[in-house]
Amino acid sequence: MPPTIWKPKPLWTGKQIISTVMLNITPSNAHGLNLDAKAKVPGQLWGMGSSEDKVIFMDGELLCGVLDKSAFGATEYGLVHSVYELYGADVAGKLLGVLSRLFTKFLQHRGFTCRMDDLALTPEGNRRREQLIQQGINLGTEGAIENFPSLTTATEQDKPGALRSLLEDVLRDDQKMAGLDMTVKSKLAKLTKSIADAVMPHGLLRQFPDNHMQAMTQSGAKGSAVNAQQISCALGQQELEGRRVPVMVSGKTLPSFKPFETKAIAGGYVASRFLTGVKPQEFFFHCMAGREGLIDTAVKTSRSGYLQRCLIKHLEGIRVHYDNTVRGSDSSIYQFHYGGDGLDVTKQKHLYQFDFIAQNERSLVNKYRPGEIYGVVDPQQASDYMKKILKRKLKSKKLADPTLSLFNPSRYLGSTSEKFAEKVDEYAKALKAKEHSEPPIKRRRPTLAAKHFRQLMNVKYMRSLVDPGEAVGLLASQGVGEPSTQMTLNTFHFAGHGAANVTLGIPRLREIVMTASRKPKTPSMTMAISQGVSAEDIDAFCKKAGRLTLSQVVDKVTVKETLSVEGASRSKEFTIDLVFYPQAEYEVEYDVQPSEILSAFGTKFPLILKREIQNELKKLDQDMKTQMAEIGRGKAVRDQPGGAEDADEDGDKDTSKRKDKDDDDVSEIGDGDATSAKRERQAKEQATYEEDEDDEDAEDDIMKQYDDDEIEAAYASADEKDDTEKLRSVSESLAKQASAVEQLFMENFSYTTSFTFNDSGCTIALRFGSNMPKLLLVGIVEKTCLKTVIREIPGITDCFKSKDDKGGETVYRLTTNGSNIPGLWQFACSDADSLIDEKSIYSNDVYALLITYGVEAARAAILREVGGVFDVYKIDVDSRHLELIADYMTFDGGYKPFNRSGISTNPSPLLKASYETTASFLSDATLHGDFDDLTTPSGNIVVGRLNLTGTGVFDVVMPVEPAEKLQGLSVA
Amino acid sequence: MADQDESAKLWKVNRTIHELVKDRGFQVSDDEIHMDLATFRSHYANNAGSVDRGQLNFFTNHQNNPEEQIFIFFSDERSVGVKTMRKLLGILEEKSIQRGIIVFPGNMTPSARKVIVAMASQYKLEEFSESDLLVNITHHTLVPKHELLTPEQKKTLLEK
Repeated sequence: MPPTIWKPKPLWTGKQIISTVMLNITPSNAHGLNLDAKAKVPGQLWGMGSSEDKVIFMDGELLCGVLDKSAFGATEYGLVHSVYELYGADVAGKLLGVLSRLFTKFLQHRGFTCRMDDLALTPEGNRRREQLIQQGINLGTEGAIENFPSLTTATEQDKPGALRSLLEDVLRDDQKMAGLDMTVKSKLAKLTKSIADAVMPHGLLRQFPDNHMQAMTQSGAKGSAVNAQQISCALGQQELEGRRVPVMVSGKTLPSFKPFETKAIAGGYVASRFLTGVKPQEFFFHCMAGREGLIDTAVKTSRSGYLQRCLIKHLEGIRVHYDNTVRGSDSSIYQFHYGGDGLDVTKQKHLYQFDFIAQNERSLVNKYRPGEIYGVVDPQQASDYMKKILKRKLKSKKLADPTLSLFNPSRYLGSTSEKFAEKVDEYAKALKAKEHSEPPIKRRRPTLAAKHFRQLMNVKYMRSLVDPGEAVGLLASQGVGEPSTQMTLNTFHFAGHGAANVTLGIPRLREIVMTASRKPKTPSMTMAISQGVSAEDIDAFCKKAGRLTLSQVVDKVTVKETLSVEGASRSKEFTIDLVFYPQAEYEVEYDVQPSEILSAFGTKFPLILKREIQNELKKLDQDMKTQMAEIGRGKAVRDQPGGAEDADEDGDKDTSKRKDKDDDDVSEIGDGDATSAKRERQAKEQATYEEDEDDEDAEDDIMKQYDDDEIEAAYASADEKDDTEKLRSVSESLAKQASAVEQLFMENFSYTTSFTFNDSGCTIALRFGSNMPKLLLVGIVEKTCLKTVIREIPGITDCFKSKDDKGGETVYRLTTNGSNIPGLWQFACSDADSLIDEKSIYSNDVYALLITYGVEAARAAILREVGGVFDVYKIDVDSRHLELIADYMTFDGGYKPFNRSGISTNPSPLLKASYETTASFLSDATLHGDFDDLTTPSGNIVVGRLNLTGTGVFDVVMPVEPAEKLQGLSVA
Repeated sequence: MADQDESAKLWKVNRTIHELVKDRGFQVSDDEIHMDLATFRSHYANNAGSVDRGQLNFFTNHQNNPEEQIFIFFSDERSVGVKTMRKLLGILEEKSIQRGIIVFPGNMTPSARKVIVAMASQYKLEEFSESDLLVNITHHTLVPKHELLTPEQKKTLLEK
């Protein structure tokens, strides 16, 4: 290749070196590469109007563009991928080898370094950064105030005090804490971003081509923009388990801060940068976050490893057969064509890159040699049929049998998926149009004729089909298992303000795939709103759909206790005062009428109150007993002076703790978070508990059941009564209703002596015998209020709208926490015009969809949910893999999990035994006289045979002479 | 309020059941499916606004085979017991119809379910709860159109 510069001495450009490489690796029978691609580095960084971001190869010569990650990195349609597509694996391998040696040589000659002033900012940049940080100094406090709507009306002086009391409140409630974290975090994220935006490319001391740090991050060689930002701008918010730094009981995050400090730094926001150093507190927080990251990687490897093993064991036998069907090892058909179009995942990558194909037509013709297949395959029949049905599709909606189902794609040229045929058609038509309209420029080569293009594409499709024997099940499980190792373990994702909190990452994947959970941890539904519904209506709907508990309208609870003497008997009298928020307030906030609140008092409230009191009494009783027992033994396991109340609380805590432990997976016991001392204590406690645990539990269950039944029954009867009441007269006065409710209340809770109700509150009087143990009624009543539901769709906690911008017009969508499809029908569709579009109700609860809408919907939901998990991490998993997994899970019409119970449908005992619980599967097989036909990979490995997948599918079969003939020969 | 709700609900149920019967290959006119709420009320609701479910009962013929008939029975009782089933069977017998669908507002007793199974040889009975028919699930975006294969189609599929 001639040098570009001749004088003063011959010099070659860098692009020419690449061209030379291409020249040397292009096979003799192929033509030079033509490629239009994009570089990773934006063009304007090289100077205004630079087109260095467009990588153009023409006939094997690099004409324009910089080679970076998108050319020879792991990026689709780059240089190396294109070479692989045109010249095959050998040449692509050679290219990589040559490039590697070439670049090493280059670095040996030129060297590469990164120094301090690549990281430093200009004085102007530093000034702007300081300024932004100064402006944002109060963002933490502002965010905290923003979190409490009640503070917006407060005066400036009241704010700090009110805020503090609110924060103290928040500290005790993890849920509220998470909400606060969210608001502050989103506020501070804006600050971090604004700093980076203000400074990042233009505030740097050295600009891009001379800035080696930037050269690395921009070209994709190493590091990302985040790394550069952490060094020169600010570290940003440190996160632990998706939250800000946890607060100690004292209300501080570190001893050096004030309690309930609202400043961003106390919440783990690091405004310093690595370049100039971070403050000690910031460093500590950063270490906390870093440590969590390390733990996370250590833990998740085992999780994702097990997930992958489960997938593989279930799918290992699934492979493509010679009739293009995807079948399991027992020949049960999972798909008629792999992925719906019978294409191989790796081979179909360039299939829709029509421009690339048209440019490199000659090389491709050389590769695929369409001429050779003539005579072997039927070239016309399938294409004709395809033309016919495409035409028909345009005319009417009625679907004909797809071409693939009538003509075997490996024997009939042009038997392709309809989608592909349509796209090719479109492109071919464009080609034709261009042919006619283009001014007659003299070209070295005539442009590709549309007819030839079609022919070539059909051949390419045929060559891109999956090979029979391909173990697509294995590919699918690895295709899903490998990316899952890249996901961080415990991530929570919030969609919009105060919106649904959805489990993501590996826990969610386990839930969908491995356990096929019938009750997902974070169920949620989404639905579209019908056209032309006003925003106010939607808001009203949201308010109505959410769950409203009594505690949300009750402002204050006061309990008065008096001892009264009536003749000989003494009795304790309690007066419970529930004060509601002002009527106007709760009507606006929750859209609820006093009568609705009142009806909740009829049955639900007294029954729940009764149960709470009973539970409390029983607990007290139990506690007394254990304490008495302990006095004798003199053991000081959890001796706590301070009377029944304290001990009761303690006992309460312990039981709940124990319950938590019991609920936990057995496998998680060895997690190591419990110290040995703790365990020892627990063991001791266990001994004391064990005695009466059994009968207590039994009793409890009975009690609970009884209570629930009672409540339900009572509620049902109350419902009927309510109905009749309503029928009598809708406009009946509240007072009348109240008296009716009073009756009901007394009926349901025999201790009640009186009950009065009005718009702003209600009073309940209770009377107990004097031998009642001391009760802390306020707590009980508060708990009862929390449990008393005024109005709900069962299973749905709240509902909110979100905006979707689809092509300019805003589409409102509703999202709910909790999922209950039939309940929503009842709720939303009982009016003549329903607000929501019931055709689009979607739930992330696959099982619920299966029950209400059938398998096909469940399959679609699995696809969507698994795909959604990967989307969050911007991981691209081919839909074929997900489809195969979804098809496997819904194969028998149900929702089959990838675990022990799911594998029991597999006919091969050896495969089952090699998975989990070997002994039980083996003994089952023995008991039932099961046999293994050695068609599964596992079975074959056990006996040391070749697998029936890949190159092992076929066999050399010899015509064997009939036995008599052989015998006759040997005799002769 | 409650009554209005009921007629609206029943209107939807009525629509869905007509669509369902049509999907099963029986003759149903489009008027019946696209009837609007006002017409529905004027037809079936009495002055007080409540709907007499007995009036909603209807029967129709199969599109291909006019002899095959289906009868749709709306139950008045909240919970369907053997008694209601007998009533339905009586009607079916009287009109000599082989297929029946019972739509009930509340729930169905297990013994009534047993009747369906017991009569399976004589009558093809199906049951739906009104709450399940509020929405036609086959119209959902995720649910593709289901088609029953004819015996010939089944044969060709299995031969492939």
